[in-house]
Amino acid sequence: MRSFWRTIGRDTLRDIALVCLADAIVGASFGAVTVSGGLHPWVPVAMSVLVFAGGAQFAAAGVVLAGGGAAAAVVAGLVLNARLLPYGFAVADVVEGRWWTRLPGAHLITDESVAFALRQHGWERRRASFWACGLALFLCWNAAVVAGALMHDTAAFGLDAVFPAVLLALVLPALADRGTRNAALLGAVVAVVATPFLPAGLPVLLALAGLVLAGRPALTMPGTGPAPEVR
Amino acid sequence: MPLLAIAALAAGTYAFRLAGPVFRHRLRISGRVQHLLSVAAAVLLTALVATAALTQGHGFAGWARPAKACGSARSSRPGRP
Repeated sequence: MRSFWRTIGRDTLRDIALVCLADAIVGASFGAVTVSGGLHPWVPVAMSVLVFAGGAQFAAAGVVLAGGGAAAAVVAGLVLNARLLPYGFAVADVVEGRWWTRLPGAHLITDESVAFALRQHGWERRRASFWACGLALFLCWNAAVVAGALMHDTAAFGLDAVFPAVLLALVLPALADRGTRNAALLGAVVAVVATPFLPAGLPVLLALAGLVLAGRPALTMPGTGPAPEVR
Repeated sequence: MPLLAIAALAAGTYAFRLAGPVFRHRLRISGRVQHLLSVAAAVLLTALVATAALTQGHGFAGWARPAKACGSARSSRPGRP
């Protein structure tokens, strides 16, 4: 166990702790916002344990709270989580092993754990960082969501602004890329314009039409890290 | 949000995660597809921000909400590795 911590290094452990703290704040707001929006407390908790992907959880719950159907919420969440597919290939070597490490390991694939793994050199360090970040995040995220769901009186903080604020914070880094920004702006216009005419939940999916402006991938070397910065 | 919807989202998400570790010797994801997946995530989140901030039900919600959202997003932006 001692060598496990030494493999990771003190700097990385500190960075992991900081990321856990930041995500715990987001998780607590997820629990609080969904419960005060009218969902039963087990909903955000079950989502956090089973889905374990902040962006998709916010997106799916946001569609439902806006009056959209469950199917639209699931599709929105799955579109967001499709980015986990290339992540899985990027960290496949550190997740590999017996089935009892591979199955839980796959569940710990997130933007953060993949970023920490890819930042390290050498298989040992990559693997240790991935597992340390993934496990710590899983514990912090779910504990924070439970805490948020239990003390859900967010009316004081201006509940209606919390959803867009968190989502905006999640997406901002990705908008630095011009193709992504153009696609996102076109999609946002399409969604807002379509809102008066379509049932809730669908306008957001229609925004994917913005992908026609996605452009070409920026020139990055394979294996240098995940391109998206969306959680 | 019915339990079935949560289960479907969880199952699909887990399939996305598990595909890499299981198929990495048999499949490759092209750079083009990888790019489109990441842009799709950003497009969807931005559309959610726009509709959540600007609309209420089927109409315009006024400017107070987006103003508040921008203010709190700036002060609560989560840190990144």
